[in-house]
Amino acid sequence: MLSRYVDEGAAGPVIRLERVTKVYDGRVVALEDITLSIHKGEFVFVVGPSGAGKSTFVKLIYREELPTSGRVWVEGRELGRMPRWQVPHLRRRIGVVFQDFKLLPDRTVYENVAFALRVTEASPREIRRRVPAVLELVGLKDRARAFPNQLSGGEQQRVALARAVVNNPAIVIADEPTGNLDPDTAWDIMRLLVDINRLGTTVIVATHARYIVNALRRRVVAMERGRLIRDVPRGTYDHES
Amino acid sequence: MRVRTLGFLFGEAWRNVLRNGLMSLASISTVAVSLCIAASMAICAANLDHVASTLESQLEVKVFLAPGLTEEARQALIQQVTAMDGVQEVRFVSREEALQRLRDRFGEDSILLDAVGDSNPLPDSLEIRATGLQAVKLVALRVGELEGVEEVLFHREVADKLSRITRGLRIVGVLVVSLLLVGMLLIIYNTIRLTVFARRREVAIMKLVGATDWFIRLPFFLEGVLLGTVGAGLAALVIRSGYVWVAASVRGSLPFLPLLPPYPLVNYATALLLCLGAVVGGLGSSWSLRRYLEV
Repeated sequence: MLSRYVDEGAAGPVIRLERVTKVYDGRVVALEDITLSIHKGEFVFVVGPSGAGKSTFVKLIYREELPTSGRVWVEGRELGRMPRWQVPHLRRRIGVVFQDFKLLPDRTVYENVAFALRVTEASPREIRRRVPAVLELVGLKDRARAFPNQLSGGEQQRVALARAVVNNPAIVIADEPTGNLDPDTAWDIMRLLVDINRLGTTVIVATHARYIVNALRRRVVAMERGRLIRDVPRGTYDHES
Repeated sequence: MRVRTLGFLFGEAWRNVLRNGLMSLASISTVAVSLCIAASMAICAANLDHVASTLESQLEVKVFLAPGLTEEARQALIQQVTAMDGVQEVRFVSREEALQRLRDRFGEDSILLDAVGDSNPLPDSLEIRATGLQAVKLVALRVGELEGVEEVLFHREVADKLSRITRGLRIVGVLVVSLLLVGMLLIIYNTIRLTVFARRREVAIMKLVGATDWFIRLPFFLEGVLLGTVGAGLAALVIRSGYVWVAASVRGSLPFLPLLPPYPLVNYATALLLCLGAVVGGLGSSWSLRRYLEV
């Protein structure tokens, strides 16, 4: 399953933003002059209050949005210059998880996960091999035939996570993955993200779950009103005095 | 693209058709009814054409003689006609013979003959064979001027009239069929618009997991093609059995009407209808996708 998307920048950072500003509708400034690098295998929390620009930041990485000015590189490719037809191949290198799960309600857990593989024209054998493996990883092997509405919120998020990693992406992005979950379930999801990171995948989590950020002590990128106000290697949610 | 992917996308399209049950039904039946009407008009026109050209190719002129013509006058007339340029053969048909022919054609107990009763309303007549198509009209004209001739009938005239009717029908037909095509396009356009709207979440997810443009578009396109083809298939079934039945019953009750034989006509019609349905479905959905599906 060789992708036409070519990994050219294995040596440099996996993600690089240089003087990135994003303005919506010509007046709403979502991001202002952000410069930042994320390396392979890092686990990064992006924190800040609502409207700080966390979502815009992650959208720039999977090219849901393009910067108004400045440049974004992912695996050595500058996204602003990437032709449209290559965008799907970029997206296959990035797994994304959302607060609202974004599962297909009329398909089983198995089919929801397999969907991400079918899109890449994976062989049936590949699908039969990979899907149970990732369902096992997220602990949902027994629920493969269930439909999303028969699952709890935490289980649904685990399905979303399985779908995000089934393609073996280089990067997993989670945008408020625990926003709809109770603290115990949130921890389950976070532990899974840590496991995925341990296998070598770069993980970026936008969150305002203070207790998780403070407990895990990973790199913290703090944002406020579109600006990067803090970037600490083993940081906490709030400024340490 | 791999075959299994095409299979998967075809399955997705079929899924859409089923999920959109009512709207799918509306578009399939619209396509079916429209194509039925269009095909009926086309088949009517083809048959009229056929009748016209069959008549045109008959070199016969029929001359009805005035009643009460004496034997000598009749013999003189026949000789005159036989001597004419362009006449190949002249045959006298007595009124008795004419009635007998009708009996043979319609059967002894036909309503038509019942109405006639014992009286014979038919005149004596001459059947003239002309030497060529050009001669038919000349012969007819000249015979019409002769003494003792009441009326001249030749197929060319009937054929001309039929051709005029066919031409008119064709213009009306093209107009009606164009309108029907626009109607079919619109309903498929709208159906696909609704599917796209109903599946906007899925489209977003597909984009997210890295589906290419054609992977996202193809199921919607195929859905349009399916709706058009299924509708056309229904129309073809109706037209097939309908025309076979009509042709059979016309042969039974109006045997002198030279209709086109049902085979292979209905096979051509079926193939044409299926192609038309698929094309209209594909066009309608492409049009809708260009407007409503952003990928």
